[in-house]
Amino acid sequence: MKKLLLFVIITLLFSCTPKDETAMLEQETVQAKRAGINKEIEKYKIQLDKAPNDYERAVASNQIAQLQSEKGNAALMLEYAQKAVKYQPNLYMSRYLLGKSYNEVGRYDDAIKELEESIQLKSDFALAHYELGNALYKKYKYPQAIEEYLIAIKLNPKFYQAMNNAALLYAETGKYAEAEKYFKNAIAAKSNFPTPYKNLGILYETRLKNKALAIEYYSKYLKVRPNAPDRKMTESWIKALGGAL
Amino acid sequence: MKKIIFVIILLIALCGVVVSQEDLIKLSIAPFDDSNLVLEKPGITATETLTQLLSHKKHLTVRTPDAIRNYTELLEKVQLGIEEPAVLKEKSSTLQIDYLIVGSIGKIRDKYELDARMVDVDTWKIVSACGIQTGSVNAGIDDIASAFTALHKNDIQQSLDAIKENAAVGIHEFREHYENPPDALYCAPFMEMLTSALASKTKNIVVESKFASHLIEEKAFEMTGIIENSKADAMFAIQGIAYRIIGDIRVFPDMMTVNYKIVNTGSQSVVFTGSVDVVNPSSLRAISIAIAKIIDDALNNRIGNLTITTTPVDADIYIDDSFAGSTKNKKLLVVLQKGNHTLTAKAEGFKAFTCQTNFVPNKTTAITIQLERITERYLQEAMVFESQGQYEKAVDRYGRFIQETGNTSEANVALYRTGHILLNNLKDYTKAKETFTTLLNNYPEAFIRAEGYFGLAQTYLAMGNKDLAKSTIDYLLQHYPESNAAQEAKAIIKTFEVK
Repeated sequence: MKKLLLFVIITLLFSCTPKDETAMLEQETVQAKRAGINKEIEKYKIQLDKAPNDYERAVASNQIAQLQSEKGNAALMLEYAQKAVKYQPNLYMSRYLLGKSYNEVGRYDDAIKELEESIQLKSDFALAHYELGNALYKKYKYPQAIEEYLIAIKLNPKFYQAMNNAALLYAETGKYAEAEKYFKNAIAAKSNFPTPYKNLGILYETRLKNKALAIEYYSKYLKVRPNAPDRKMTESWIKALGGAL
Repeated sequence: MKKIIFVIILLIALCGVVVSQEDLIKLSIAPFDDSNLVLEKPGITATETLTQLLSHKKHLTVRTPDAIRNYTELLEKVQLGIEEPAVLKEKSSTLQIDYLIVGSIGKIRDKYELDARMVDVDTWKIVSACGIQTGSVNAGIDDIASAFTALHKNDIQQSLDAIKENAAVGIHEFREHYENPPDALYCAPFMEMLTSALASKTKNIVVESKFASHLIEEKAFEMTGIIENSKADAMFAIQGIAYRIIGDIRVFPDMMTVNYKIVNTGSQSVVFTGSVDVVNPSSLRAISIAIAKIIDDALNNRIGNLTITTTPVDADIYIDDSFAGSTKNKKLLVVLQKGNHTLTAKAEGFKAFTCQTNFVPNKTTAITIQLERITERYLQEAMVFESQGQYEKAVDRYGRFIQETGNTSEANVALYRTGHILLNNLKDYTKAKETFTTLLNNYPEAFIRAEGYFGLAQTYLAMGNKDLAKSTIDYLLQHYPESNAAQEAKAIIKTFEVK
């Protein structure tokens, strides 16, 4: 008991910040209601309340789940995606959003099940294949994940995120030439997408042992993303390889 | 005699020196990270000022930054992924310090954000932390110096003892998402704030984030999408960190959202997620404290693990009527909040099993469920009664069957038959409507769903509500055009048109 009391005292002693954080949090929540994306969510909530049938309810729930996905709010995305599937189980979008929600909260088995349902309903839905690849990746099923990414790329030849992830898994499975090809394809598909530049640098440095190309791609990464949060770290990698900044 | 007294006095003095040596806090200060303030670069001055302020205190022994420069340079290399973490272990014994103060200075809008944490050099556990929002760096350093000056070695030990049984937490990473580049980058300062807040406001052991995030396979490929590198959990678990915190900050034109997740590194499962909308970036400090308290509450009061195994495997598990997952992979791990929960297991061909469980946080509770195979006695009796025209008895037996199966997929046929009898034979339209609605609500994937809509439409028609009957049939035709029910419904639509 004494120890606990002491801990509380020390905690209070070191409280160097304002005490009104809860009030601040509430104030921010109130102010955020006026933000564009939250207004849009409110609009769809009204649509959901007034929807005349299950189909309309499913569509409105999907819209809310989609917007919560943009916000990154995994719990609310899951809640509305589940509602959408309950209202209308045969919409590929509902199944996809539910699968994506499960990925967000780490329920990868459930994600795989839902994404496979989505693909059954719409086999040419590239996003569902990509998200299924992500779930399989988290289950360490690398060959199957690569397969899904490749289907996504076939369906959408500009799907640079799928290319990056396929390349990553090729690198993890020792297929460096394939990895290099897909990282470069991702750059070709979207030249201002920074991730594959950095990944190519890592591939050249750690796997292909090509210092010059590693420096080149680390530098390109910083050029594409001037305010990269890992700028200091990437610069140190360049320096350690003997490169100039 | 004089000699004896002299020896005694000398011994007492020596003991005093020994005791005071034990009470001394031996520390040094690593250069403050100011990499986000490229133009001002206040880090070196802040480090020197803090060293000076703390050097005058009797209970602190402060080694100058120069004295441990080799170590801090090595430390930076390790943090940047150039050196392996193991090299630090060998050096720490020669440092003549027990603690290192690490910190950062950032700026959001016109306010400086200062964070300083005293960490054990051997374990990288934070023993004290302070985070400050201030208008001037000097004023902030004064406050940090006051906070650390008030700390005594006994306090450190006792506060560590008070939380030694609690789980170790480390912040892994926060990623930034935005369509258009914002005025400032928020993830790095927010991680600093959250680390300080977790260490100073919660009951968990917090491993310094500079250690937790940077020393663990930093030079790893970056996955696109919402999920991070799949090896992260194992790397954290090796370091003895039970939970890692990950998240992102999404910047919109008129606000941003801070999202965070707690991941159990042992089970590799997300045990808690949260999200906060932020309009004013200057509020991030207060938000970080609020989030730290939520994380603390979640870890210590609200959540724990429940593992469920069933015979047969592949049962669907519902917690408080919400689908929680299936046991098809032999065991289902569920994260629950403390208190009473209703757990239901359902599998095709088996009776539903329901029980109450009082869930204790911070523990893994294991439940094994043996499901009992369904006997179809009530269903067979109901069908016999229905064929004999004994409709009330048939409804009763269908009801018993539904109750016994507990809404498993077997019950959908019984529900449909009940609705059919209520509608066509017993003419109890209100109950028929309730039954068809239950069928549709409980069985989103049942093959009999189209029949359910058709039954509901017929019920509306019998109740005289043509509009609802028509809209239900329209819905049926639109979404289940291939079903037998749709073909029958078309005939009803024609009668509408004739009238």
